[in-house]
Amino acid sequence: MTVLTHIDSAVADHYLALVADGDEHGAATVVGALLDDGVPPQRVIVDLIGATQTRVGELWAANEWSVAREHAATAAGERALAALAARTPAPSASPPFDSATGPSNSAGRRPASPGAAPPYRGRIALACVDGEWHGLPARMLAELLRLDGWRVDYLGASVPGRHLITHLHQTGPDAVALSCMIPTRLPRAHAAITACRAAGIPVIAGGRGFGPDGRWAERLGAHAWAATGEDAVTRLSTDWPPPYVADLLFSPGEPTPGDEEYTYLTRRRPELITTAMQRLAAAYPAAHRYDQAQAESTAEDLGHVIDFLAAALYVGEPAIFLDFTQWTTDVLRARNVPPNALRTGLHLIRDQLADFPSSVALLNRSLSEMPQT
Amino acid sequence: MTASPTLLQASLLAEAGHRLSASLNLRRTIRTTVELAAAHLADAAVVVRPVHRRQSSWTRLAPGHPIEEGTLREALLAEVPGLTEALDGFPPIPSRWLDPAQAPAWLVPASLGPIGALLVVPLPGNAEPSGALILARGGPDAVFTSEDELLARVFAARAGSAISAAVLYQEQVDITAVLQADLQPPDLPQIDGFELAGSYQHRLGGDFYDVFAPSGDNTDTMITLGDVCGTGPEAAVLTGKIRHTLRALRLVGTGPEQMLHVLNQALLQSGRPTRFVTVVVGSIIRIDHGRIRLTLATGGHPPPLILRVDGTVEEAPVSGTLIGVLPQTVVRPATVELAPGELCLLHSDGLTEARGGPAGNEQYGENRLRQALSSCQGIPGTAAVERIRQLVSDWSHGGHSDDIAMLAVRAPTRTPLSLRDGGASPYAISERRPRPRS
Repeated sequence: MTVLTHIDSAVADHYLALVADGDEHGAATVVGALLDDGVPPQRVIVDLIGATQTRVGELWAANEWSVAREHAATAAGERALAALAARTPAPSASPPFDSATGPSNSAGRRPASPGAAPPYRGRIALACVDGEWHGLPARMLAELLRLDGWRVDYLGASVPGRHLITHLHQTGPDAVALSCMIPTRLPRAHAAITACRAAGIPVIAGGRGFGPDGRWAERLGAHAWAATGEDAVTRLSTDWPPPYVADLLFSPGEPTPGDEEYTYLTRRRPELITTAMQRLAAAYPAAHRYDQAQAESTAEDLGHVIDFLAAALYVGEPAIFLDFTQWTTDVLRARNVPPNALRTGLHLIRDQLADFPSSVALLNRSLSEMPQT
Repeated sequence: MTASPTLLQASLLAEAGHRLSASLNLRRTIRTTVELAAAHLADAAVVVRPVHRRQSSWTRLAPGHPIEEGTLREALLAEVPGLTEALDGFPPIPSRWLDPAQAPAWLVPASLGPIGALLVVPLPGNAEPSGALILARGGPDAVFTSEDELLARVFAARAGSAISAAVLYQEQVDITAVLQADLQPPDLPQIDGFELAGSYQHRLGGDFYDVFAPSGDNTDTMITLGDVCGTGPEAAVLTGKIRHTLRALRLVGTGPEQMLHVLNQALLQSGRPTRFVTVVVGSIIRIDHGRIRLTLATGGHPPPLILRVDGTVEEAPVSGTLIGVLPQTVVRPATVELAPGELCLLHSDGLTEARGGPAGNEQYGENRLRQALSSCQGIPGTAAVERIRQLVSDWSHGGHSDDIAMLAVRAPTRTPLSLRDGGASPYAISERRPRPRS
C-alpha cells in the first residue's frame, strides 16, 4: 500500500480522473486517505481540491470537457471538501471567556494541548456576490478560515445584498469576506461593499473578478483584497480590523463619464439584444441556419458583451472588457467558431450606441485588438 | 496646533452618531461604544450590561489590548464604586466623589497602572437602563473635569439609545429565528440505493420540501415538495402545519394518494378556505439491478420530470386537483421506475415561471427546463440541481426568483474507478471506507 504523504502530480492526476467521472465517493476517499496520512487539511484544500478546480476550468475553456462534466466535477469537489470539514476539528464556537469571575481572569487562558483548536479569532460572514454562482472557492476559504479559528457563516453562492445586510445586523461579524469571480458582478459587489461599510463592518474582497491584482476591489470600497484563500487567512489573522476611516457621505469626485452609459446599457439591455438579433442574419449569413437553441445562445452571448461593457464602464476600467473579448476569442477558437462571429456581435452592439462615446471607443479598441482571421 | 475642546466634542459626537447608527447588532454597537469612549473620553472603557440571571456581560477596551468580552457575577458589581447606582438608572455620581483606589483590581488590566480617575455613567435605554459605561484614566494626576463629565453623559445618551435599539432588534431576530428554524428544509438523509438533492431559496413561507427516511415499519423513503399559496408569516405557518401533517401521516404508514386526500380534509376543516396548496408526494423503494421505483401523487402541482438515461425528458403521468379547495380531490397516482443514471425532478412552478431572457420578461418555460434537464445526462443529482438553478438564475439575469424549490431523486450509476490509468489505482484507497456521516 502506498502511503500518501504529500500531494504530488500522481495524486493530483488520480483525483482529477475521479472528479472527471463525477465520482464524489472516490474523491472524498482520496481526501480522507491524505488526512489519515497526516497531510495538513490546508494543503489538501489548496493543493488538491483548489488546484484541481483550476484545471477543471481550463479543461472546459479548452473544450475538452462539457459544461455538464464541469458541473459534476465541481459537485465532487464540494463533496470532497465537505468530507474534509467533517473530519477536521472545529474551533471553539465562541470566545474563550471564563464566566465565573471578573474580567482579569477572563481572557487568554487556554490549555495548550497538542492538536487543540486554534485560538478564537472572531466571526466572519462569507458570501458570493449576488449573481455569482462559483461557490467552491468561497467554500474553500470558509474551511481555511475555520481551521484558522474563525467562526464562519458561509451564506452561499449568489447572496442577494439584502440577505447579506440582514445577516450582518443579526450576527454582528468582525469581517465580511466577499467573493466575486466574474467582473460583470462588480456593480452588485460595489452595492454590497457600500452597504457593509454603512453597517460598520469591514470588507475583504477576493476572487479574480476584482481584477488581476485586485486593483478594482479598493476602488469599489473594500478594505482589503486577497489573491488566494491563504492570503485572506494571513491578512485576517495579522492585520485586522482595518482602522476606522470616516466614510464620506457624498463622493467629492465628479461623476465619471461611464455612469450615464452604464445606466443606459443596463436599462436598455433587452432592446439592444433584440435589435442585434434582428440584424444578425443580414450581418452574419451563417445565422440563417440557427435553430432556436443556437439563437438563444447567441442572444445570451450578446448579453455577455453588454454586461462586460457595462461593468468596464461602471468601474472605469477598459481591461474588464478587453480581457473578456480576448478570453471569448480563445474559447470560441477552441470550439472552432471563427473570430468573425464575435466581431459581428461587437459591431451589432456598437452600431446601436452611436451617442455613447466611451462605449464606442471601447468596442472599437476591442475590435482592433482582435485577430483578423 | 490644538483644536478647541468644542471642536473635539463636536467631532466625537458626529463620529459617534454615524458609527452608532450603523449597526443594529447589539454586540457590535457595544464594541463601537467602548472604541469611541476609549479613543475620545478615557484611557480605558468598560460597558457593563444590566444583570440577567445573576450575571452581567461586559465589554472592555484598554490600552495594549484588543476588545475583550465576558460576564461577571452580580455580587462583584458592588465592588466598582457607583456601578450599581448607574445600572439602576440613577444619575451619575460626580467623578470627584468616586475613589479610584476602591476600584477592584480586575476592572482594568494592570498595564494601565493605578487608576487616577474614575467615571461611571448610566446608558439610558427603553424605559430602563441599557447598561453602564465605566471610564478610567490612569496616572496619579488624572481627573475628569465637569466638561468631561458633561460630554460623557451626552455620549452615553447616544450610545444608550443605539444599544437599546439593537436590543429591540435582537429580540425580534431571536423570535423570527425560532419560528423560521421550523420552516427550513431538512438536511437530506443519505439513503442507500439512490441520491437525493435539493435546492431551496430562503424565504418566509411558500415552497417547502421534506424527506422521510425509512423507519419502523416504513421501509420506503418518502419525499414531498409543495407550494403554499402566498408568502409571508401566514403562508409560513400553514407550511409548517402541512409538513407536520404529512409527517404524522407518514408515521401511520399512509401512502401518497391517501396522504393527499387526508391533507385536503385536514386543510378544509382547519378553516382558512382562501389558502390552498399544491403538493407532490412520492414513495421510493429500491428494486433490482440498481433500479428504483417511485410511486408519485400530485395535488395540483406541476408533474415531476424524468430524465432518462438516453437524455430524453418525460413527464410523470400523474394528475390531481389542488389541495384545500374542494371537498373531493381527484388524485391519479402513477408509478415510475428509474434505471441507474436516471433522475426524477420535483420542482415548484417558480422554476418555469422565472422571468428573464434576452427580452427581459419572458418566462423560462417548460421547454427550456426540459432542455436544461436533458443536459444533465450522466451527472450526479447534486450537480444536476445546481446546474438547473444556475441556468435559471442566468436566465433571470441574476434577478430574484425567490420561489424556487427543487428536489431530485437519482438512481446512481456505479462509477468505475477511473480507467484512465488502466484501472490500477496507485493508491490503496479501496480499503479505506469513508466514515459514516453523522
